[in-house]
Amino acid sequence: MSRPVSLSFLKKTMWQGAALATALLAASPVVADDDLPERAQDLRYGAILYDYYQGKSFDALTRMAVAEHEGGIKGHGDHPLLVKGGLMLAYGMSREARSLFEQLLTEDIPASTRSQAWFYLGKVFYLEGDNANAFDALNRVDPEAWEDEEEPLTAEWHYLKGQLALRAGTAKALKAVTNDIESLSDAPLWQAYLRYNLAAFELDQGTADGGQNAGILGLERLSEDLAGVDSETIADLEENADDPESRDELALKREQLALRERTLLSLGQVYQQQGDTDLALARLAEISLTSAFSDEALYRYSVAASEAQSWGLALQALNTLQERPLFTPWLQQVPYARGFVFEQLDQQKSALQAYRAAANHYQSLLDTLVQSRQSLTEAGILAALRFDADGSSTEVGALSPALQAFATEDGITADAYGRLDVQPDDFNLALLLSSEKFQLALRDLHALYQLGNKMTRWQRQLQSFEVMLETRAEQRRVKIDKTETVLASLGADEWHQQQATFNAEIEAADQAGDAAFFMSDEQKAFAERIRKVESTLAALPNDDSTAAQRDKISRIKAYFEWQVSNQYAVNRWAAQKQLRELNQSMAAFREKNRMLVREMGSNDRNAALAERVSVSQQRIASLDADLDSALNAAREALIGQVSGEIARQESEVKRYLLAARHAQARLSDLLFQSGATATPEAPASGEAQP
Amino acid sequence: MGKRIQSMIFLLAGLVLLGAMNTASAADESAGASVADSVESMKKKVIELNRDLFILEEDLLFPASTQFTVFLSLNAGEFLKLDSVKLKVDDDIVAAHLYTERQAKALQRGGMQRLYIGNLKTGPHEVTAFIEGMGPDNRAYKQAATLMMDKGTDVAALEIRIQDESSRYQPSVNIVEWE
Repeated sequence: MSRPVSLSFLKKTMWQGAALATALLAASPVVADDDLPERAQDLRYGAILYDYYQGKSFDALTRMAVAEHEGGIKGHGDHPLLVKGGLMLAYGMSREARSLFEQLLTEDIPASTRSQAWFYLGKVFYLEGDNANAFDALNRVDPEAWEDEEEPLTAEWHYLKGQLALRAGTAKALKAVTNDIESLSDAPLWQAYLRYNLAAFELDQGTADGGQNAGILGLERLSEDLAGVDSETIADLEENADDPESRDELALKREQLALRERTLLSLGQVYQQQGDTDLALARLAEISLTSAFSDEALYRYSVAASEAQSWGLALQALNTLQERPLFTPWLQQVPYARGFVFEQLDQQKSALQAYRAAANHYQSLLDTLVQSRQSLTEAGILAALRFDADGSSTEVGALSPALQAFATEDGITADAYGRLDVQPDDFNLALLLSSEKFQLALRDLHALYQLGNKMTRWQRQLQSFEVMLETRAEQRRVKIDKTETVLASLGADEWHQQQATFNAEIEAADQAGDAAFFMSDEQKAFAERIRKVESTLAALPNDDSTAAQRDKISRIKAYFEWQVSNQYAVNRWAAQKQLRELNQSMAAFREKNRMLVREMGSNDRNAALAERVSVSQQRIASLDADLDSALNAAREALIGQVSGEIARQESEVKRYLLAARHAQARLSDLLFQSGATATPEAPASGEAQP
Repeated sequence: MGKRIQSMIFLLAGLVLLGAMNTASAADESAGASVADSVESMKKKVIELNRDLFILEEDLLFPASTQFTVFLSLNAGEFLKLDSVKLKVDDDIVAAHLYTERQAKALQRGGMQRLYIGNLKTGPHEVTAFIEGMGPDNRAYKQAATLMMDKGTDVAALEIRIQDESSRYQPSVNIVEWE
């Protein structure tokens, strides 16, 4: 029976298609691809968007946290919070994203933001399988409130509502799905998926209310509508894959082709169940041999051909399947089925040989599976997977090549919910890899390795900071020594003494009214000249000439003393002004000296930085311990899942082995009783022609 | 014959159904949830730690008084496919970058690249950006823009702004100083 197409479904069936479906549903959670560029009003926000649009969620979240620490992003309203929620979803932090959207909705925010927040919250609930809350949240969305650039969200909103209605399965809900499908006329791919899922739902509902017919009709119409896309169209587009627009078109066409083939396969399956083998064969024959669904289609074709008793066609399909590597459930059945068809063709010897080959094959496969399970390691699992990457990587430690690649690859691409882009190299893991649980386990393991890499890098960075701070401290010590030497050579104490002496002398002279003390340099020189003249005149004989000279110098001296006395206030003011300036300079010097001494005595800034480095190192050490235990748990979870999957495959192969051996024994007995030998009649391939 | 065919189909369908069964136990589920919870909790702590290291690094290496950052924005697409940029400050090339398609697209969608962060002493400086890419008609496009700036004692931030100019059918490059 057909099942609804979803992310997990497509991953189960077609890797290439899965990637495209993932891109479709998980398109950038907050801002759509064709979003018009909006100039950032805050440089930090611009840098966040740059990382965000490149899928660097961790870097963007870090920048966001820095911006919040520095007072938040200005000029963009609540939009940064929506971006943050989207980043959290992309970084696998759905719980945090949910609480952020819930918190946002309690605030007074614009209608457009509110509507977006409800939409993303609904999407988180949808992905968590919480249908009731998802339904409630999505019904609170008002697409009319969205801005033009948010228009692309409308298609996804209708799709999610339709999917939820299908999950509810009531008549009222189904009517709503039809409305949602009509609303998706501008989004043909979303519409096609919803149409397929509605048809699959109707088929599941059975024939009581005509649902089976409605489902078949829906699938037939969908197949017709998608018939315009074929391998040739895709090949043409592949030739122009360098052009970004052609690449987008190519991705769309591939997705449409994959959906059409899935539709044809479902139709083939339904017609086969209804016993209409002709229609079943016709629909299955439309599926290309290169399709990702071709294994299942060929197998179903062989079963339908068997039902129509067209054994040649059945054998041809099985032979085609046998040439392929055995890795899907459909292919594993081929060895046994070939024996069965030979038996129906009444080629007992060929059938016996085919059963024997099948038994050998299943035994060998069983041995391999047992060995794989017993020697299962994390590195072995990762070696069996192939990750899509953008080429960036970092080197760490000595690990096995597969583990090294997984642990160090920064650029493994992921969808908007953090699931890694991965394909199986060992197809025993194909089915397991398609499960959401395994995808999440891989995502978590990869995230933990990435965290480990970051912490190793930060430890190195902090060590270099430590060296830097130690060097700065050493340079500081050298500088302090030099400063102290220079200060000592300046004789600062003598300056202080001289300043005190000047202050005392000037104060005393001022109080004593000592005009001579405040004389200018010119006056002092003049006084000295008078004193020398007086001294010379005192040594001369007392005659008239000398007396006249002495009178003259007395007059000069009197005039000089009058002049000094007259200028006393001016001279005292000049001396006191100089003293004030000296005091100011000395005060500035003392302040600088005090600052230097204080600076030399304390190391606050460097100490604060060193403290921050030390605290960060402790936090890394603590996180490192948490990381180790989380890594062990993640490893065990991953190995447990793979071990369980291999055990399941062992059990399955054992049943095939038992059936093949049983048939082999039965046929040997039959041939023995009829006296025939166990050699084949003719080459099996020759008889397989239709 | 029909009965045997039915038996084959039954057997194979049974095996296929078996193949689709999920063998995970409840214990596995809770272990998975527990790992996911602890991973999410660790991620939160690591983001906080990285934030603090980011700020510490800037405080240590690029103090506010000398910090100088240059961002690049691209509001173009019709007239320029950006290939590379070089940044020169006072005769020294301090940064150069070759753009991948993904980076160019991120710029086109409104992101801004922090092209350079460094230290610059106070005073006048000459900043020049050289842009290369493919212009209209797939012709090589080169353009430079220069800004004379006076660095004060606060953080200095510049934006190299590349935008389409419809009137001239070509892009323009300007360096803008942010307050």
